[in-house]
Amino acid sequence: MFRITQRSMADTTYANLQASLSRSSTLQEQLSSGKQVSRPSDNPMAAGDVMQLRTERAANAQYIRNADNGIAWLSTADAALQQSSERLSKAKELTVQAGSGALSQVNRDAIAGELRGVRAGLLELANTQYLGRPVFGGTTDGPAAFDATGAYVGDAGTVARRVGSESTVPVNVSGGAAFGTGGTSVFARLDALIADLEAGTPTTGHLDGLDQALNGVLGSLSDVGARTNRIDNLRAKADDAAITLRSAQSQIEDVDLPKTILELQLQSVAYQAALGATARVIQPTLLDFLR
Amino acid sequence: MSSFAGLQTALSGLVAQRYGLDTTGANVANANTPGYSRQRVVLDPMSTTSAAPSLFSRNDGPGSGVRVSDLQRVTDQLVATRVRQERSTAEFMAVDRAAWSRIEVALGEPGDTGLTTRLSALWASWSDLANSPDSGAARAQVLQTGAAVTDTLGALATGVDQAWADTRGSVQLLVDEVNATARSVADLNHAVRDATAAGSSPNELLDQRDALVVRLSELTGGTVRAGELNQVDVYIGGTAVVRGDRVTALTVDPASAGSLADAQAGIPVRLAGAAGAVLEVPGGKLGATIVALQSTWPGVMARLDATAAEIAGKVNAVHSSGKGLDGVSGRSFFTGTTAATLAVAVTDPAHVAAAAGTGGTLDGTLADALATIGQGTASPDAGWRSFVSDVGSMSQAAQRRSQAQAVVVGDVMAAREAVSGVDIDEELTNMVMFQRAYEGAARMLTAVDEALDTLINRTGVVGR
Repeated sequence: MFRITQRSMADTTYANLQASLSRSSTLQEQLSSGKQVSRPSDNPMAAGDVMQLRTERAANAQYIRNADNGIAWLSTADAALQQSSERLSKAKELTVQAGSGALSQVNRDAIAGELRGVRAGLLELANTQYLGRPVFGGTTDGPAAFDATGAYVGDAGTVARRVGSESTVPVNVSGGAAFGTGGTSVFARLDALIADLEAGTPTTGHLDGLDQALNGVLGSLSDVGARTNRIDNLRAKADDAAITLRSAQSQIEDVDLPKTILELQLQSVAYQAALGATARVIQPTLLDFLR
Repeated sequence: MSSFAGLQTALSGLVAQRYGLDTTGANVANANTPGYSRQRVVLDPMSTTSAAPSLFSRNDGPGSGVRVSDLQRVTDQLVATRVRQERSTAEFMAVDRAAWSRIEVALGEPGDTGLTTRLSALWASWSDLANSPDSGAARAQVLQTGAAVTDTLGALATGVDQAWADTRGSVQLLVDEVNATARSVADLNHAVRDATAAGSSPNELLDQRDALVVRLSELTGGTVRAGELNQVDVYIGGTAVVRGDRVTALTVDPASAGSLADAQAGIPVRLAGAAGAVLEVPGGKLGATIVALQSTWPGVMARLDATAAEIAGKVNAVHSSGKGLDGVSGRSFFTGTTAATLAVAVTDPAHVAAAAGTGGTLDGTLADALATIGQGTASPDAGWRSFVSDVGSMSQAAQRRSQAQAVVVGDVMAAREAVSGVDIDEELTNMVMFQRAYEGAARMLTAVDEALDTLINRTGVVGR
C-alpha cells in the first residue's frame, strides 16, 4: 500500500484543482469567443472544414456580385432591344405608308425625313453603354459598337460572368446578331430605303428586309430573356448556398450555447466541491490530540 | 558484569532516544522542504558478548543497552531513477508542445487574418476585374489583395525565422545551466565523499545532490551511475559530464547552424564535450530544443515556401499567357518562390492581365481563369488547408503527449513522496514513542541509582 503523507494529499488536491480550473478556462474561452474551434489543434479536421467553408462562402458571395453585375448588363441590352424593335415597327409602318401610290414626292420626302430620325434613334440604341462600355460592342475598348455610317466597329468577343464554380453566362449581345453587319445591317437597309424614297423608286421591296431586321432584334431579345432567366436562377441558387454554407460553418465552428453554459455550470459546481474538499484536506493531525 | 553496568545501559537508552527525538524534530521541520528525504534512526542492541564467539566467550547477562548504528535516509533508487527519466521526458514534450503551439497561433487560422481569407480576397478581386477589365479601381484592388497575400506569407516566414533565432539563442543559455549544474553536482560529490569517509552523515548533501541530478536529467536526459563512497557519475549521450568531483564542460559546436537557412541546408546544431568530441543530447529540454531547431521549424518553413511557390507558379502560368491593357503579354504577376521573397511583380495597374492573349482589349476571360485557381482539391487553398490541419494534428498530439506525461510525472512524484515524504502523524507517533522510552530510561537510571544507594549506603550497617 502507498504511504500517504500530508504533502502528497496537498499535491493531489492542488493538481485536481488545477485540472478543474483549466477545464473551466477552456469553457469560458469557448463561451466568450463563441467558437468551438479557435485554434487548429482544438479539432484539426474541423479546422480544415471551417477553412474550406470560408473559401466557399467567399467564392459564393463573389458569384452573387457577378450575377448582379451580369443582370445589369442584360437588362441594359434588353431595354435597348425593346426600344429598337419599336423603332423598327415604326419604320415598317412608314414604309407601308410610303408604298401608297397616291403620295406625292413631297410626302415621300417627309417620310424619308422621319425614317432618318428612326435611323438616328436606332444607332443611338445600338451604341447603348453600361458603365462606359457599349453593350453590343463585344470586348472593344472603344465607346461605340457602330459608327455613324452604321458599320460595326466592335469585336466578336464575349463578355461573360461567372455565377457558379462551373457556370459562366455570356451577358453581352453581339451587335452583328442584333442589328446585322455590312449590307444586311439595319442601318444599310434603312439607308437604301431612304435613298429609294427620295429617288422616287418603289419601296415595297424593302418591307421584307425590314422584317428580317426586326427578326434579328427580336431573336436577340428572346436570347437576352433566356439568359436573364438563367442568371436569375443561378443567383437564387447562390443565395440558397450562402445560407447553407453559413449554417454548415456555424455548426462546425460555433459553440452550442445551452450545452456549453450547462457544462460551465457543472464545472463550476465541481470546482466548488473541490474547494470544499480542499478545506477539509488541511486536516487535524495527531498534534491536535496530544497534550 | 559490573555493578555500574545498569547505569551505562540506562545512559545508552537516554542517548539513543534523544537522538531519535532530534531526528523526529528534523523530519517535522523539513515536512514541506522540496527534495527532502525523511530520515530514520537505526538502533542496534549492544551485546556483552563479542561479535566473534571464541572458546572462552560466554553470555554475561541481558546485553548492555542500545546504540545508534545508523541515521538512514529513506529513499528508493528505482523510484529516483523513474523520477529522473519521466521528468526528462516531460521537459522534452513541454518544449515540443510549446513549439507547435507557437506555430499554430502564428498561422491565425481559422480566422479573418489567416492566409485563407487573404487568398479568397485575391481570387474575388480577380473576379471583380473580370467583370470590369476597364476599371482602374478593380486593377488596383488586384494589386492590393496580391500584396496582402505576400505580406501574410512574409510575416509568417519572419515569425518562423524569429522563432528559430530565439530557440537557437536559448541553446547557449541551456548549455550554461547544464555546466553550472554539473559543477554543483561535482562539488557535492566531493563534499559527500569527505563526509562519508569521515563517517559523518551526508544525508542533507545527498538530498541536495539528488535535486541537482534531477535538474540535469530534465535539461539533457542524462543518466546516472552510482559509484563508491556515495559518488554519482552523470552521463549524457555516453559522455561522462560529471565523474566524481570532475566536470566535462559542454560547448556549442561552432560549426553548428546559425540561421534557419543553415538548418534548412541540413547543418545540424551540435554540442561538444572536452576534446571537442561531438556529443548527442538524448532528451530533456536541450534535446527537444535541438530537435525543434533541426526538424520542426525547418519543416514548417519548407511548407510555407512550398505554398508560396505554388501560389506564384499557378498564378504566373495563367497571368503570363494574357495581356495587359497595353496589349503586352508574358508578364509574371508574382516574383520569388519562397515565403520570404514572394512579392507582387506588377507595379502598373494597366499591366495586370485580364484579357486572354487572343481576346479583345476588354476581354475578362483570363481574369476569370485566375479567379478559379482557388477552387478544387489541387488549389493552393486546399494545400494550405491541409498544412494547417497537419499543424493542428501535430500540436494536438504534442499537447496530449505532454498532458499524459504530466500525469505520469505526478504519479512518480507521488511514489517518491510515498517513500521519502514526511508523515506528520507518523513522526508524532515516533515522538511519543521516543519520549516515553526516554522517560523509561530515566526511570531506570533512578532505579539503579536507588539500588546502588541501598548497596552503598545502607548495606553493612549492622551494629553501627
